[in-house]
Amino acid sequence: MIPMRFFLVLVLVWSAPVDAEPPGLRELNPPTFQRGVDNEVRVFGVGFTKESELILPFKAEVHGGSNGNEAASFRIKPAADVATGVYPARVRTADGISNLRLVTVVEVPVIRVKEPNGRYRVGKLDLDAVQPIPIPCVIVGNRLERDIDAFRFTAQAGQRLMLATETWRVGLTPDPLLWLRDGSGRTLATAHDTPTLQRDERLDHTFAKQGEQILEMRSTGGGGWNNYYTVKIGAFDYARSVFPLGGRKGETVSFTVVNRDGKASILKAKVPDDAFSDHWRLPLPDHPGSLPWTLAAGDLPETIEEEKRSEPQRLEWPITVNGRISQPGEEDRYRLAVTPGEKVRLRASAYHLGSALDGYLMAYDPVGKKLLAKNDDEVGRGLPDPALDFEVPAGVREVVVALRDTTSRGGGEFGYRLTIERGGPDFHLYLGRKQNPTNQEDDGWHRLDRSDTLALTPGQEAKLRLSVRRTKEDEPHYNGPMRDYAGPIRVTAVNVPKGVSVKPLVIPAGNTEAELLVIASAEAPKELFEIIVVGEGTRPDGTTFRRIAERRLHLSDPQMTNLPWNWRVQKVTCVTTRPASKEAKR
Amino acid sequence: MRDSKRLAIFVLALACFDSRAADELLPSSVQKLSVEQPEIRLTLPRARQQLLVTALAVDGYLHDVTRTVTIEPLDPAIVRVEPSGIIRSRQAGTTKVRITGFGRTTETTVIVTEPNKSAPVSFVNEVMGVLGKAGCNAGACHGHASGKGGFKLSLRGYDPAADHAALRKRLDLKDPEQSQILLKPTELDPHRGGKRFEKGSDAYEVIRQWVTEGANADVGKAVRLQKIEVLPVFRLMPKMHMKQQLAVIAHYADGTSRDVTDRAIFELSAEGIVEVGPDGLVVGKREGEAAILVRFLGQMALSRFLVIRHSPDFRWTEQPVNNFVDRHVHAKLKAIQILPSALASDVEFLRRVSLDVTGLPPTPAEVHAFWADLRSDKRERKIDELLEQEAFGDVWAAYWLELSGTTATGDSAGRKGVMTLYNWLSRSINENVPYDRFVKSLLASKGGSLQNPAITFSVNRLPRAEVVPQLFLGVRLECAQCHDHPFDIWKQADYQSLQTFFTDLSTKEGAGDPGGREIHSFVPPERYLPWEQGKKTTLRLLDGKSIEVPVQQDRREVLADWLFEAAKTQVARAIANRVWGKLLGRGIVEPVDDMRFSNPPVNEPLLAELAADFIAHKYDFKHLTRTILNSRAYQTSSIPNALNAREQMNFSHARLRRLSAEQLLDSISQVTGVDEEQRVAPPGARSIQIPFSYTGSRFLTMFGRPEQRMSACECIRSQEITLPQILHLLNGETIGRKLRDKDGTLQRLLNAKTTDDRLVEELYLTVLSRLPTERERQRGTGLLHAGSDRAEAAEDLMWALLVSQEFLFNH
Amino acid sequence: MHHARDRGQYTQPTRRSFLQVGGLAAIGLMLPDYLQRTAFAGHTAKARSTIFVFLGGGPSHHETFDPKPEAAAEIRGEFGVVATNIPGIQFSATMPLLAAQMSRMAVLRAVTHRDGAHEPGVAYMNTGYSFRPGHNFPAIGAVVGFEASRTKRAAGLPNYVAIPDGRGGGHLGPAFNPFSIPGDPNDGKFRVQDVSLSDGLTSARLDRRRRLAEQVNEEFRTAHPTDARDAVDRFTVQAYEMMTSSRAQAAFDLGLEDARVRDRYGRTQFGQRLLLARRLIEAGVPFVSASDFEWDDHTGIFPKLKQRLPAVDRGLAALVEDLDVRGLLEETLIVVLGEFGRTPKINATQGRDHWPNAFSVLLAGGGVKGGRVIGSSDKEGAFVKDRPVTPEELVHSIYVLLGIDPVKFLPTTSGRDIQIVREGRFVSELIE
Repeated sequence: MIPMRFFLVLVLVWSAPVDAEPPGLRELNPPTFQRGVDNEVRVFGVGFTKESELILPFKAEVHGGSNGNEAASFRIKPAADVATGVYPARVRTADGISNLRLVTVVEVPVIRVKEPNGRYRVGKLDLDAVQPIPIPCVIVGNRLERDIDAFRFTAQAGQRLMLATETWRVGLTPDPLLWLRDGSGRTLATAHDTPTLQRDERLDHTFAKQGEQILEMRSTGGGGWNNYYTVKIGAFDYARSVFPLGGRKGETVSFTVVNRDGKASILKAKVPDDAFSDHWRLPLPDHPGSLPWTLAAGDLPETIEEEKRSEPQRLEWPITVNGRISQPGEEDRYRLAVTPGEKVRLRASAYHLGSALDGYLMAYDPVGKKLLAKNDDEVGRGLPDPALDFEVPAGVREVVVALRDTTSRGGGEFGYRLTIERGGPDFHLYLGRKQNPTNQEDDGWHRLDRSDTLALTPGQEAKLRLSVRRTKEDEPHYNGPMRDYAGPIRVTAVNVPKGVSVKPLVIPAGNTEAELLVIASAEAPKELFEIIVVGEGTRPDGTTFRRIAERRLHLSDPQMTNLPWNWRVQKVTCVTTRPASKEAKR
Repeated sequence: MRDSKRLAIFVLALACFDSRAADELLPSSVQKLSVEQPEIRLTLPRARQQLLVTALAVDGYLHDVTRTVTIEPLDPAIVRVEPSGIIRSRQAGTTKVRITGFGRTTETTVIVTEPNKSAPVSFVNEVMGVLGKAGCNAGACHGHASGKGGFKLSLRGYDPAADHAALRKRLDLKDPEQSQILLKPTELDPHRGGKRFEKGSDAYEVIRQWVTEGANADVGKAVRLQKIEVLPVFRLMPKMHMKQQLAVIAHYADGTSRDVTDRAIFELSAEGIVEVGPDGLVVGKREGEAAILVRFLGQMALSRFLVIRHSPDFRWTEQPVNNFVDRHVHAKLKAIQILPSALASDVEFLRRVSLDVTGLPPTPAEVHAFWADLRSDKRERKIDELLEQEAFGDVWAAYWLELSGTTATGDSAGRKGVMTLYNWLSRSINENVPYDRFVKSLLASKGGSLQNPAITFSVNRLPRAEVVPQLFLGVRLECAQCHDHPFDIWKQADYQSLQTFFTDLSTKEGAGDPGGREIHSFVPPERYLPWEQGKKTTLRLLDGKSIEVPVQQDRREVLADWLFEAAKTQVARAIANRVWGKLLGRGIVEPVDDMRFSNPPVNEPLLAELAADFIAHKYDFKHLTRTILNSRAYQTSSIPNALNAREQMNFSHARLRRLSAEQLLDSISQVTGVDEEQRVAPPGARSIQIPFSYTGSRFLTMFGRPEQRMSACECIRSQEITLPQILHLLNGETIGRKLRDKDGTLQRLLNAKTTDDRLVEELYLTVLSRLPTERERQRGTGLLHAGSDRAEAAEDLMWALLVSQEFLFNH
Repeated sequence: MHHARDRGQYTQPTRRSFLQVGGLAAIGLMLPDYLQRTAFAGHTAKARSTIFVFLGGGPSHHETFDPKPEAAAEIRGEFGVVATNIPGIQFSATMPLLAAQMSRMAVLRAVTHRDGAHEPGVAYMNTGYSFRPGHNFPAIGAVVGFEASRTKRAAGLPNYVAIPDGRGGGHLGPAFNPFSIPGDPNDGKFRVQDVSLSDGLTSARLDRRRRLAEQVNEEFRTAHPTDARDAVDRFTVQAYEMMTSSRAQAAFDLGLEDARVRDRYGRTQFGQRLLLARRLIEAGVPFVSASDFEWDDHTGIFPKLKQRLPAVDRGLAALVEDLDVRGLLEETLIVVLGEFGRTPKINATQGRDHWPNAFSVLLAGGGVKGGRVIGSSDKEGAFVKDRPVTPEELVHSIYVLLGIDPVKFLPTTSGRDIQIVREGRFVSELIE
């Protein structure tokens, strides 16, 4: 869990233009800092002012600032004890706070690529043009496109190294390909899109011969801003899988972490008891080759799948069952007692929790031999996790839920969490306007999407845009359960600090867009603070349900909405700015 | 076209020559006369038999003397004999027929019987035969998909029921001779298709009688035609212009047989070697080999001809043999009385094998090293060394990718899918993954295409039912998509049943590809519901056998298993033939992916043993390649000897092969020392390493690299030579720019301030991978010496080497 | 014999231009017919060469040859109409110069097919065969080239030239791909690639190189008597011919054209492509395609067309007039087409989308009777009202006009013969 305390190291006071927009953050290069040492970073965006600050959620010395409206340079020295991992970074000016981009803190040297390197001649690598690198290290490369970058290092016979890109997962655009060669240029191994790493990849190689080795980086895609890669190299252990993939809020769970050799170890951790977040990150200090593992935080009772059953496992529900498709072709089946007319909602979470599973859900009536419902992907391309709603037909007292890998694979990395709960009308509440792949918002694509931020001026109203998706028409790519909640939605905010008030809001039945009014007084905090927006609906039977407003940030893929999110935000980052004045302008 | 024109002139010349030469063609001294058919049974009425009389000459050759000998029935009341050797029945009875000629006599018996009962003309077995022979149901005529002149027949008569229905409107039962079906083909009524037969001919009479008898259809009732047989099945003609009559016999399910020579359709596998008339008379035209495909009502048979120019002076000299390949090649050459060329020199060999295995010519350093190697097995060693270069995998990856139909655009694999597939192919080849595992991966991989790129191969827009048989069996099924294959045994039903192996599969896009698609292919998960357990489905394989599999079975796996069980010999033959074709420039079956019934191999024992050896070595692809590369057949010189210059099919000498688009461009880049600026590949990449169909390179397109992967046929790539190519080489910027590049080879050599002699030597060595001859050396130094501008002279010399035919060809 | 009736209208011929341009024309006229001028569908072909103008992407028929001034605003668009020189026939107001040539042209206003995507549409309109994956039917130019190659070749010139590029030989093989002329002929530095001598190469030096190359080849040639090698020899002779023949060089050299003629065609890429096409057919090339691929106006169509249409109007009008003046129109068929038209209704982004249901094709010369409209679309330009013409019929008709039997079979690289066009019919209104 990242400590959400903000260390504001540098505050330069300069006057700012009136009515200026909050800053937007496009690129931060390199996005990787070695802890305990000075790192130089260049930042690009819009709306920077002389007083731009870099906001990092970890302890660090930061120097430097903007050189113009669209660029800034900083020197960052993370404290030596900062936990390695991924963190959000934002830029703050007097006009507000930017969207986020991800940075990583590492324990090893950060090596910048020196161009040109990796020159080829008639298909043969020119060894003199290959850049030497130390081991361990993290390489931060440049745009690849048609280019090839090559690095050389010495390995001993029998030495084992891990080489893993941390590119896609931290919101960079290239789609790199790792290619390992020996000193003569002969291919030793390649890697592309390793399961559980989404579009990132990892090589785990034991060198047969002592000598010079070459790492070649190629790319099959990417472009625009953030078109550079990072790759981590060293004798690191890493986690292949974590099981279970989450736990109930507040409970302490024993997580089985399987390392690179298939050896399991137990890591006990308490699932954060945060009512308003459904995921968290588990740091893996013993597996420095891995980033912190994203895990779920659930509200329902939980259980673990009983392996090796011939009959479907009986479950009392609502429940979340943590299971695994441990063998190719395996299908996990659960038996539920149901009442005709009852609505059941099933959701399998796997892919976005670092599982290799491409789940396929089916619910059937075992007596009547009838398939009741099935779902492959909740959201078309990019989210292989399935979900489905169905209504229990007349005469059916028992339903079997079956989950399998779509392409009949299986293994230790194929964990999942299957949540079974009561279904019914539902909605999704989003921060910001409807996300549309062809709709340009603000001055850029989603990467500059600041809808999870709010700049407050004391004495003035600030508007927080919200959108609701109720039906399939609101979200064409959505393939999952029909939500179809038509009724009014009461919107409230929680975590609101003293000096800030939020006007209660009811989104009328059928409406899909709204603006929440937030007002700051002179007592509003000077520091950043975060609020959570919650919508509440009422079902026909009078029961109520809450949905947290969230934002999916497609950090690396501005033009497609249907790719796996790399960062979900369920909090609105707020900043209080000075009141605008004519004097300030002068 | 050029060939056909040439042929026309040739035929014209022959016509004058023919009569004069006739006597010379007859055997001078005959050991024995024999009749090909031991006993002849004719059933009245309308029965005929083409007699075949063969003379065994003293030199051991067989001659058809049917039209030369005298054939007389001892009882002319039973049969009569036409000059062409056709025996026609007159009345029931038995008679001997005496055959006299060349001072020899032989006899055969003819038995003429009455039919069991009244035998009306069979629509299926007789009328359809007449229509087929007359060409009415050919693709260009009424067999066209939309018919002709409002009259449509099934193509080559594959649907007699439909044809009967179509014919019925063209009959006049009251006055049969006024039937359209008789008036049109005899041109008594105007007919755009011209005259197909004469009034009163046999063909005419069959139809007339059929109409007179009521024009009944006996579809499904007529006795079934089981097979046809052609005599002889093989004949070696020792001289040009010899003739051979064919006889075609139809065998029916009831045990009867009938001569159908006059109804059979004769087609040539290759133009120009022999000609065959509609009556089945074959004439040898020039040296070479040809097969005659005989078709009759959906059945086929093959008669093969080998035409040689027998030379009494020919003496086969025993040739050294490197491996079994050479034994088979030499056996064939001996039979056709041709001596192979000498072994290629080390220089020729090195350039050839480097280009074939890696796509690049040897560098001067490699040439020197090879010269310096004095070991007797240095060629074997070089071959082994080259096969271990990664470029070998690149060459074959490009090959398979090109034929797979996988492109980066449209509904195919996307950039990423194509790149990963290319890398997968290249690595699999380099790691020498056994061919059965390689093909099974391509055909039936599971999961997503990014982790498992081979899937990309089996899921793209080309119909798999065409691609799979063509790639892995060397069988072209695309014709059978719309109708039964006209030149092969394949039926439309075969195509359809093959399709079922693929249509069952579900595919979906995965998460991993930003620009294109990641493809997952899988058996629909609903198949695993409990009540689906135990259910089976029946699949029909290409060999006609059926197999029952559980509904959960991935059918592609069944097909892949079948390929390497029941069909493994054909699979091995197909790949052996492909590799052979790629390395020697011509397949043992050519085109390499058209291993049709009517297109037999030129050297069956060779192909058979290559395939068997490949299977025995557990589908070791490098072993197969190595075997061929190590043969003398591969290593023979491209310079023909006096005997074999015209021989093109039997590997008597190496063929000149124009460098492929990629070989040429990469070679130019290598020898000039200037990389090609590729639009879609990393700087410095060779063009063979571009996985995409689109390259953005005018050069590559101009030299025949296909811009679209529209077919699994090797023919989508052109190895032709065209005017724009030559123009571009002579005057285009590719060579021009690279020659003048200040970092290029030429500039480097000039800067090195070598002697003229040395400069000439280096240029020859770099460009042509050999030293100049003494004469070339003198000319070269003279050129450098003469002009005022040495650099310009050197550039001109290097240019001349680059545009030379020696550079353009793999020789 | 034809005569340039009034060359003076364009320019006073100088001795140089007579030798190089007029002389060229004169030689051109004496060239043998490449195609047998045979009668099909009762028509004795007059056309000897073709200029095939392909507007790739799909030009709007509303904004060109089939305006609908009476339709609602979201259909009729912004341009209005102009009267042609034939009473009752109107063009879009953007085509005034071409409208004045209507008496020399025929417009098909009800061309129709069903392939609303570019790839199939382009294939269909260029070959007369509807698109089938796995099949690659030859372009019209490739078939013409194939037919022409059976007779004589104009020394130093290819049979099928495409400016800048065109569809290829398909099943006939790459030997029948067009000779492409990329680049912008309106650019002062424009040169036809590979044909004009490359930089720094004088003809003396080329001669030396040629001798040198012959010496290098000497031994290899003697040792290898094969057909493949012969082909290289043959093409090498032809290549040198093209590089050195003043006639071929002149045909490719727009610089020899009078500046006023160049102006008349418009100093645009499109106009100069047409002019280059005219020079080439004049020199004896039987088929030249001149294309432009920017017509896919899904957004903001009107400002874009305001930029592009005047170049087309000026270029085509000049071409028709120029050919007529030179006496070449009767034997030169001009076809102007795209793969489809565009949607009658203007879309939300002020563009028009793909519309194959009814669109227009323009023909002129080559025996086509001018001043007529064949077929019509409905009042919104959406569907065929009368006399539909399919791509098969259009392509069939082009072959008939050129004297090529459209139903005969040609040999393919795969060994199977294919029919030039299937199920076509001659649109006889073109000549009646």
